[in-house]
Amino acid sequence: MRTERFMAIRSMLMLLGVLATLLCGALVGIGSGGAKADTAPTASFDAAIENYRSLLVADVDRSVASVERLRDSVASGDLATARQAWIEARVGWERAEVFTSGFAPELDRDIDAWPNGPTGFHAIEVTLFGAGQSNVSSQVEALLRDLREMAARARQTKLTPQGLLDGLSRLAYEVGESKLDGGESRISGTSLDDIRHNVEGIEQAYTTIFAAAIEKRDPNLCGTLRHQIDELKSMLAPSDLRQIDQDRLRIASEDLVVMFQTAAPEIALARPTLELQ
Amino acid sequence: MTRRVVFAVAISLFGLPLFGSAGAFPLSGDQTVLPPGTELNEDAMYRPTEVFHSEARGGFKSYQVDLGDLAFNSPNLLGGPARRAGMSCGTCHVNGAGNARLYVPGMSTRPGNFDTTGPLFNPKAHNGVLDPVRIPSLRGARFLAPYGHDGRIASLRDFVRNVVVNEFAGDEPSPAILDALVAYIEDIDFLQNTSLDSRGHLTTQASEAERRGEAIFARPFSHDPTMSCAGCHIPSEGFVDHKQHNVGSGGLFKTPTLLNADFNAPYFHDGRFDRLDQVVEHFDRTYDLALTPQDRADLTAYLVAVGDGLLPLDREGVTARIKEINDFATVLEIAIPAHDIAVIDLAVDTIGRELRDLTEQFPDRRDPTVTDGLRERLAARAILKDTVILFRRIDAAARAGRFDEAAAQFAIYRKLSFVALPQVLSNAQQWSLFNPRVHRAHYAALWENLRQAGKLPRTLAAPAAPMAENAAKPVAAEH
Repeated sequence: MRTERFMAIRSMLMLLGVLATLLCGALVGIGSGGAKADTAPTASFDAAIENYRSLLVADVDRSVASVERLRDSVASGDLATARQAWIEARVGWERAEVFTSGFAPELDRDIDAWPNGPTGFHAIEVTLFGAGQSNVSSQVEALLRDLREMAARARQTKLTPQGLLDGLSRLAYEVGESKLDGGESRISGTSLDDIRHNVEGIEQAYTTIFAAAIEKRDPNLCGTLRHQIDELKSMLAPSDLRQIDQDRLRIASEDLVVMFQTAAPEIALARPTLELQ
Repeated sequence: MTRRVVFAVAISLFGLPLFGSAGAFPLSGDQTVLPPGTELNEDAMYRPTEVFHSEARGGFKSYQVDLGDLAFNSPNLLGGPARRAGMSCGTCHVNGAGNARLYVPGMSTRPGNFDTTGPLFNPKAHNGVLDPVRIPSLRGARFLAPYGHDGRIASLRDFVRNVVVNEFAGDEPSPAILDALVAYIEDIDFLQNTSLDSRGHLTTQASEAERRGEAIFARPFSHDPTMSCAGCHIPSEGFVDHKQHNVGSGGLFKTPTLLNADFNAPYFHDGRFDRLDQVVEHFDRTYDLALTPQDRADLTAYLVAVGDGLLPLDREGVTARIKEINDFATVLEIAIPAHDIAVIDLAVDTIGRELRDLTEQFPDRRDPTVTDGLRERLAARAILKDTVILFRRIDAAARAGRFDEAAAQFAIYRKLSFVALPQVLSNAQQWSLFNPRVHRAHYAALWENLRQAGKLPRTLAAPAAPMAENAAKPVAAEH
């Protein structure tokens, strides 16, 4: 009896959801003459986005704290601790990429410049892990300044669902990029950690912001997305980059992008773009 | 995984002895499938020109040839570490030619050779001896039976299967794929050589030295009049006799062709010689030919004339890349209506890899080595990524049995490939790694990182620019 009532309520909710979506679509159509995503009503995502924001801020803050430790250990010439702090600082940073790459691209470039750059994670990586030296104080100061600015942006920037879905899709695509040459953080040997934390960031953003809304519209689609993210995680479980089946990873990454693109209209968003232009 | 050419050419071309002789694709770090210091020559700016027999006669490549080309460039044809490292037949035989820079520590004794029975790629074929062989060019292979440096396999089909299954631990290829690989290889022509007529004799444009060399080439050896250079390298027969001989290099090896040899260094089965004059010296010594210095110079001039070819190298760029991808994509015109999932998978996989590789030629915003043209670069990246996903949709639709949808998606690609794709990529080309200046800046930064990290590949015992590569006349013309 209770189940039936639950099912009935759920059906009604789903129907309402469909109507609301249709209505949203119609309004968008009238208002802007196209499915411009950021003009779609975002009310249904507001609470979810604020939940995500608190997780995002925590990630960037953790990265800032690690870079503070990096600064201190560099100052005292403690190379081992400095390296550890660098590795830890990457965790929150890579998890936050759904946000950083699209909402603060210039800052993102300074922090994560590659292959070189006057400052940023990889300039410090070359000295700490490559040359085995800790004379990177000025670069660490600059990184700290940029990361603190990023933390402020994470708190203040208006986060749109479209921008976040774009960020998710771009990151899903990036996960499938070839790491055969050793990957982005090859000097420290942590390229695999980077990808793993990217996928954690994808999972966090998807679960917090979009999962409920998609589930409401299409439980199967939501299940597929969850399954695909889980699959990516298990593919990345080995501890050595050499053990990763990069072909399967690439296919899984592209399948996930396709599925985000499929989900977009279900939640009244435009098909996510794969490059911020 | 198909971009690798003669980096030395790029260096000599632009006068940039940037990295000494060790110019290479930075395959580095401690977590790469192939040993640190491996050089696949992936960042080369020139690739060997590929001349197809079918096209040269005014026709077009058949479905089989394109399918073979696809399989040839797919790591999935191989197995084990080669596949995991993203290597394909095309890694060593770039555009069906060779790869004079390829070097795998432990498997090569010098750039351009490779131990096909070493421990790395298939333990079952490992023979406990470091006996690398030169990577041969496949140009004109249909005229060059038997196959293998020792000529132990009569049929090209058997030889290809052996390379795939035994040397590189691949799964047994389907008969259709083997047929396609053979069709592809047999369609690769020698480069045209205007120095030779149809009987393999020098034409009127030859120099005096080359003519004297031709005479020496045909002259009986003084100590054994039954022998001459031309006795084995028969000019009218593609400069081969289809037989094995012991010429003092450590065993019986088949007579290699001399056609296009200018671009096939290093020489001999193990690649022991960098230059043709060293080859001449070897024969002079081994057969006691008593050649004068003038004779040796003349004979070398003749070999260079015989080994020449028109337009040996293709400049890397948007046009060449798109043509290759389009050629690969043509197999879908038959495979989708035929519901041939295996071929659709193969095509999508290889094309997707090529498109992703092409995307990385357009640096994104994080790369400080190039600052201009950001909008154009990002537009190029965007359309390439969208195309990757388009092909993924084709594969997904086909796998789900929705072949009409797959065909519709493929039609979208065809439209894109006519105008939008070439246009958007061409607009960004000057700020891409296809521009030598950008290429230099980007790789110099990478190399500087690796230098600081002490992770440069160990110095390779390679000549900075083998003679054959310097002799690449059309390159100079392009410059």
